[in-house]
Amino acid sequence: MTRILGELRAGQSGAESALFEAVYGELRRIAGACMRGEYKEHTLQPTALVHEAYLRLLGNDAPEFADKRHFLSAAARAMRHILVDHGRARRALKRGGAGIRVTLNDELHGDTDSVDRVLAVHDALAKLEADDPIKGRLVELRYFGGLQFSEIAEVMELSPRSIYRLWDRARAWLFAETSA
Amino acid sequence: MRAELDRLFEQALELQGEPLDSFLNTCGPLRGDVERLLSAHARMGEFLATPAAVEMPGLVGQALLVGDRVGRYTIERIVGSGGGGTVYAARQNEPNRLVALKVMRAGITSESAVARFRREADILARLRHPNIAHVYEAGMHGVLPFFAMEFVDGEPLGQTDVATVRIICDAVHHGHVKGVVHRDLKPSNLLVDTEGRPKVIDFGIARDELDESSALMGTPRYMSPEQRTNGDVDARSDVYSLGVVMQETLQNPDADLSAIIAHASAADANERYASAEALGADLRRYAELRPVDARPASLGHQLLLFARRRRSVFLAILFSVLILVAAVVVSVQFAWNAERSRLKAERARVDQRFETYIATIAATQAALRVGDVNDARRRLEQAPAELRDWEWRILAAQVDRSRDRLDAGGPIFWADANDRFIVTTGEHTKIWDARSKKQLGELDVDGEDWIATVAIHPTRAVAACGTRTGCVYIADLEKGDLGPILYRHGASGDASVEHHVNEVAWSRDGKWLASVSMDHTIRVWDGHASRVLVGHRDRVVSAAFLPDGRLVSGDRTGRFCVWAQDHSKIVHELQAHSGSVEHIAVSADGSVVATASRDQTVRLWDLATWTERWIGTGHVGNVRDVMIDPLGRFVATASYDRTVRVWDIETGREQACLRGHTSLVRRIVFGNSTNEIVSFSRDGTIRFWRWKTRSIPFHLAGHTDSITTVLFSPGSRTLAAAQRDQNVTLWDLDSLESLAHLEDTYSEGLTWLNNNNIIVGALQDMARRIQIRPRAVHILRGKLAASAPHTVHENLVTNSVLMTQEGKSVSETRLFPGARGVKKLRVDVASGRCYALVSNNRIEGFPLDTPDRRQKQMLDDPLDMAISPDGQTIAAIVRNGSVYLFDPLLQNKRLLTKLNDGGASVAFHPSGTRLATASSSGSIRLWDTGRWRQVGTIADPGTTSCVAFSPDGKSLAAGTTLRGGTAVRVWQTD
Repeated sequence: MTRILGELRAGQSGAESALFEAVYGELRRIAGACMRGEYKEHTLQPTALVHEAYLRLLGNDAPEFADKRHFLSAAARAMRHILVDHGRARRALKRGGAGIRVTLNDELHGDTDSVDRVLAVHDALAKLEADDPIKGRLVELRYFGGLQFSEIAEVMELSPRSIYRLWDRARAWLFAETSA
Repeated sequence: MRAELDRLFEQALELQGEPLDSFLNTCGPLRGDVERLLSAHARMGEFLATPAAVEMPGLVGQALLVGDRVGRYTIERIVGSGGGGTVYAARQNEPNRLVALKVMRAGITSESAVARFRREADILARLRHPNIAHVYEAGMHGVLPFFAMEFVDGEPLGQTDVATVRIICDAVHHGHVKGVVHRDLKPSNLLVDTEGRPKVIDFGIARDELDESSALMGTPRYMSPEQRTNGDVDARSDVYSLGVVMQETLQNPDADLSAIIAHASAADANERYASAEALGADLRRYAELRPVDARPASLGHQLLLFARRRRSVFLAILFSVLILVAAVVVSVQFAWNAERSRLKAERARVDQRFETYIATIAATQAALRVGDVNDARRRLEQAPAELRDWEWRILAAQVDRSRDRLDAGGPIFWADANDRFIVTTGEHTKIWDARSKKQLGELDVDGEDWIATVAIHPTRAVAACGTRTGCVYIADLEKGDLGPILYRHGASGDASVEHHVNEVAWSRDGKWLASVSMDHTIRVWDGHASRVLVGHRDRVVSAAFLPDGRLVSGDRTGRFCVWAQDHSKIVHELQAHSGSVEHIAVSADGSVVATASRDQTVRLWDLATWTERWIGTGHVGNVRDVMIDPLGRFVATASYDRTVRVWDIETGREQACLRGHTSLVRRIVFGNSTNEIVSFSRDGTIRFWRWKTRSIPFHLAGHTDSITTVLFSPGSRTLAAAQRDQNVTLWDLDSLESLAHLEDTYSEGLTWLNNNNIIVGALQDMARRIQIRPRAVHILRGKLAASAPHTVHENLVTNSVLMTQEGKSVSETRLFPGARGVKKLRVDVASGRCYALVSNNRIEGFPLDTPDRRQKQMLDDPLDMAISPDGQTIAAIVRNGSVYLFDPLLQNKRLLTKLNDGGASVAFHPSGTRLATASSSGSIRLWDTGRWRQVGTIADPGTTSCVAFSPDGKSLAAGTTLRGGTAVRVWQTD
């Protein structure tokens, strides 16, 4: 992991995708472990997922700032992919894709509304990112990565006040886009 | 295109109504987009407030289900969600009851966040009020914090009445007094139970540390403007929320009530009621048909209210009589009222600031009680500057014990110092002059590298610098020049392994240099070439040279290695710590070595046998740096827990905990004198400390009987403490050691003549003058060297007052011929008046030159009295706890307060602005003498028997009896 991060800092090509692969893999592993009930001792909260991956991949060392930034950005992007895949799978199941009637525990797995919302935000976010990469990144870190604002401020190297303001404007745009 | 739309949207958000319409007209083709965004902004509510992973919890964790156990509670059903978590109804078995279990949505995983959560929970558990839902317990369900609270079976506040709002104000104020601001007052947090009783829930639970989104996304209309824009929160933010709640829930308010609501929900915090108590008080006045502060009442209005209050059969007659009377005097009254209103408004504004001041002092004390130094510091800053007095200074001293500080201009990652400071902040390394504190130069490395560690040479003006990529340089400090690479760990361009240099160290004689690296190697430079030392199996973190030239090193796993003299191999290895050995310090005499570790301990090792002498525990974070005092008196450590600690070198016991930094402390070095420690912190400051900084209050122990009097010398450097068993101890307040111990003295007759001479009463009916240095005892008759003319000294044994005039003979005036039982005697020199507590039942006052012209006031068992510095107020405290105030002629008796736990002592601060009242249970209250309001409390454990302020106004001393014995405690500001 440190090697990948070192390469990333050094600007080596391919390092970024290597990081993403590593983080993505780890997140999926943890998610899988949760589903299998290996985290029964303490129900792992979704927002702790990124932190859990962070601890497992980077260990206890106080990280270099650059490393943490890269890691969290990649983690948020990985989370987005995982969640969107998961949402699509849910939606397909609900529609009884293969002709099977499946009863899902909505309380447990998120009702149709929230699944639709996550997927709608994902699509809208793609549009937002194209025009305004800063807001796009912010939404990815917050909504998909589940990071705290203080962490986002560190990652994006902006003041918390700017973050709050950008978040407010981004939400307005996305709300307009998804409720049309 | 996008940027343009953003800009227009920003501007549009600032406008409303007509100006907005005009602005929209100027938007051209983008108008539609701007309107769409505005509409979305207004309607979006809590859109995206919860992260996607939480909205679709099926991915990982599951929402808690009926029947799940959280701690000792079993979930029965979901009640609702909001404020950062989900609320369940859950059952507890012992005692069998239903609780409201709020499980937060965001997990917390860092140690500091968990510690913070526990401290918050402690504060919340202290909120005990019939109208606040009591928090029984707080805990963690894995990484999720939860609160178990009183279950309130009720509805959110709907249409309601003033009486209910008053109760809510009282409850909210109770929280403020305990240091908790609610932050999220709204109808859904104000439940009304089946009996119509209002209950405030979720006090202070929606907080940044647990779920940041709540503080921002939580219903904005109830949030005060300053909370929305800055996140600034104090008692007045809650007042604002209450104002908005009142707007919604109080039907058809009349003019007075509307004025109250407007005053509470004013946009500017300074225009609001300063506290929920003030709001409740005004509501009470409203309910009692009295004029309210929010709306200065005209004469007619006052009459109307007056009439309504006095409902009686004769109302009509009374009313008309009043009108008649009013008509006659209206011209005079009008002018007088206008002036009174103006004064009232002025006083109200000043009073508001005073209320704010009292609230910030209380909040600071509450924060300090739970050890939250950062919060305490923030609150202190909020106190109105012109009102800060002794209690503020004593709290400030407890929050920051450093004597001086310097701004480094950025978070400090590394530093070293002797007569120069070298400080690395961010990616820059600067050289400063230690005395003038001016920047001398900068050291820069090329490219993507940066300096990670620096060590100044013991004798020459050069420093060794280790970098991130493994290079080592010797920098010329006079020229500020880094120079060429000396050598490197790893080959140039080799990026396969991390070669980051963790530390560099010079030998005592400066001939050898060692550098340790993340690549597990150490390199040693002898002036010509560098040599690799291999032997560690993990990252080497620290190294130091012993006096004989041998090298010792520590690594990330906690292993400590001693190398052979020729550096060829490791000759001794031991597992020194359970975590990384962050730093190694060697004593000047080479007898001991101290190691600091990530395992939060510091250990001292015997260098000859490599056995551990002691372990110092106390730090609650990674101990990053350690040093041994050149004079071998103590060991000092710097830690990520933001403190610097000093340990006794013999026993390893913690002697001082220096607080003041607001972030982790990275390095400590010795300052100019051997008594100074300099610390470098990630908070961007360099602080200077005296190593003998003691925590406040100082504790002077060793007394053997309860203390009846404490008295500071005129210079405030010496303290005399007299015991009931006729012994007196003199304490030196600089060294905190006892100077002298006097026996067979009559402790009530104690008075300082000057800084070196003290007069004590003696049992044999003769006063003695004790000279402190050199120690001598003189019987008090004949010539005395007085410090000032007309100095008056009380001598109770002979019931007389001794006056010395300019070194001439002593004259003695008998005051109470034949009288017995004078318990205390005080003289106000300026006015020449004398006051005495006599015979357990009265206080007497008289002019010294005509002692028979005396005033008396009966008091039930008075214990102590004090005269204000200006001589205008006499304070007396009696055994049952009542404190009375009199004017100089003992007229105009007022009761200041009745202390529940019995009275003991009173003392005025030399400035005259404060009075200290001590109750026998130990608490000392401080009163503002202008408004006669309590501004602060010092809770002293044990039984307090006497208090006194020092003449220089810095210190307060109290004689206390604790379980372990009797002592004097001294609170000293800087």
